[in-house]
Amino acid sequence: MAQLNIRSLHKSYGNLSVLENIDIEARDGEFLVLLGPSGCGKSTLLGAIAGLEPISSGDILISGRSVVRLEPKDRDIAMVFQSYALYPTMTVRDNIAFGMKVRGVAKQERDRAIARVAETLQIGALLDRKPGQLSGGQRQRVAMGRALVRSPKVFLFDEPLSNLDAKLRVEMRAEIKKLYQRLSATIVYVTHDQVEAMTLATKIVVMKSGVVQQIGSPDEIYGRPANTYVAGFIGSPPMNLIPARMRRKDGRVLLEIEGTGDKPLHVAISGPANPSVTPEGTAVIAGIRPEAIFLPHEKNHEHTQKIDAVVDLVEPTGSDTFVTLNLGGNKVIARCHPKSALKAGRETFLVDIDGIQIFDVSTGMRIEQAGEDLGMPPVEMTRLASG
Amino acid sequence: MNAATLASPMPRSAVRTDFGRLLGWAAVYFTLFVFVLFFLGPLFVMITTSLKSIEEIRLGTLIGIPRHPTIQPWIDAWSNACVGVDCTGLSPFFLNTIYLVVPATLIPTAIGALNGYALTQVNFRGQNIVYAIILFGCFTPYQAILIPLAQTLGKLGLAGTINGLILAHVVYGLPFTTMFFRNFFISVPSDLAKAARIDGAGFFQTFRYVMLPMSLPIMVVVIIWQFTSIWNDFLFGVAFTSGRNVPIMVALNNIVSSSTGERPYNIDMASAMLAALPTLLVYVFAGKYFVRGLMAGSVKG
Repeated sequence: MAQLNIRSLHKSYGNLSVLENIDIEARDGEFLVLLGPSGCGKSTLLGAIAGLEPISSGDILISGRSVVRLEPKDRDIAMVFQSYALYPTMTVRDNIAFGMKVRGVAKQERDRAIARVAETLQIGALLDRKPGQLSGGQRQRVAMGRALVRSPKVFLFDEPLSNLDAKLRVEMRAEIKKLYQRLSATIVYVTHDQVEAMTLATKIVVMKSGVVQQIGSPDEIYGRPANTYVAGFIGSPPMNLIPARMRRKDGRVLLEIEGTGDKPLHVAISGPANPSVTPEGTAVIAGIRPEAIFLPHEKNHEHTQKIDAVVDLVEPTGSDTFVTLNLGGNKVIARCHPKSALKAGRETFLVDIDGIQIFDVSTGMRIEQAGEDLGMPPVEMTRLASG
Repeated sequence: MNAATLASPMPRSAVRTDFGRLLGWAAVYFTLFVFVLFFLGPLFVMITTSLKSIEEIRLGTLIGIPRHPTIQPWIDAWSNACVGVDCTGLSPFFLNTIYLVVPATLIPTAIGALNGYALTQVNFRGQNIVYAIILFGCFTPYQAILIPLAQTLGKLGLAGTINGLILAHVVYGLPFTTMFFRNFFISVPSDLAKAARIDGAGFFQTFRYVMLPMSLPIMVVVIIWQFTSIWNDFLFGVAFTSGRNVPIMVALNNIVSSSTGERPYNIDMASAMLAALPTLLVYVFAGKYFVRGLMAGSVKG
């Protein structure tokens, strides 16, 4: 078990830069998830940590030791591949033992290690089968067994669940989490599935086009996305991003959103920590999570703001009902209680003011609001009528 | 409109399509049957003729079941028939060809497997050009290299020997075997090699323990390919060997052409059957691997 440091790592193919200035630190026992859409460079980064992909510049340290010049086998890592990459002609036993066999570990010791891993993953009955005779979930276990048997410093997982069907994926996800809790190993896990990232990670790295967008705990990533990209990527459905303007009135900071009627809707927010960033009239993007918009009778929140909106679409999913609202021409999704009877038409909703984020229009970066750092409630507590 | 009027035309048209389908199948089977006759006819004639005595052939027609079946022509073809001046039958030449075909099949297969794997794993400048040249080697006609190859074998002191012929077939077989293996290994997911690399296996260990066992289907194809093309080869055999060193196809030719006077059709036919038998058996026993191997790569395994 060890810590992993990635320092100003660059990788490019000719003029095409695929990883830019990556700085990541994973402490001992961290479950680090690299999250991003296809082609964001997350698998390439994992390959670089494994030593399968050469890097252009920068450094990778495992337990404080630079591994950039080491062969994969000398980096003290183990990897689980998306395709499992089990050796098709070998039995499960030989698959797990192959690394030890190559390294010249004695037969007795190999057998002991295999028995231990088989016990951990409950694959004892499969040891003499070939990968072709296994189900997807079983192959997945064997692939993990092959990594586990090495007891490496860092485990690398490359989208290990994406070839499984939905039900099995949820089961295996839970197993990976249990395994992690038992091993308390350092893990780097690549996925494009935000649910996997949220459920498994102690730290998430959100990537886009080879650039790290945000590094933080799942809570931070969800609650305080660094920019509109992260805000729009995390959450299902993602955060509503609505164009708005900053207004000031009677010493209070107001967020002006085009309303449903003639008059714009004003929402009092605590405002930026540094007021000079957003002078009067500055265009910003307001970010509101779907669960921060609800019907008046559903939740009791201290800081709410009434908004009138037109319900366009009601989508019950069983546990929640997603309601698509038209708020001054913006499509906004609210997460409502399934018991709330809703139909298309005009309806009054409440917005949780504490849940409103603001982002810079041009850079997309999140603007820190006053009082946020301390976790204090916003200064303005009075509810303002719209308009 | 009610349900009855809608339903009534249905059965009649169903009958019509059933009949049409039947007719279609009949046409297909008839065509196939004609082709079967066409292909099996010569074989039938060969077998029946080889079981007749020369008197029976002289009296009767070529086509017809032997009235007094005898295996004497087969015995003669194997051990008594005159090949050129020696009346040894095909047996020594059969052994010649075994001695030729085993190394000339195994050596290019082994080297081709390694070559093909290397071409998919090792990245180097001009990789595609190398592969293009190898492909070109596959399509170079025998005739074009006959004289330079003869000169080379002469300089090596291998002219007229079976070892020289082995070398010729090894060299000529390499582009084919390399191409077959390369096309197989290109379809193997790259994750496998990566996994082996992380497991600590080097190039040769990965090849030996992971890749080579996987390539069994294509290896069977390559072996069958090499075996049949060498076994059936006439041109290299006649050009690079002579006398007692010739392979079976050349010997067969000599048997047929060295008979004087009355043609012993029965012995000729038996000789041809004996010469063709090994390749036939290879297809019978390994044919399913052959088809499977040709399909390998098209289906993810």
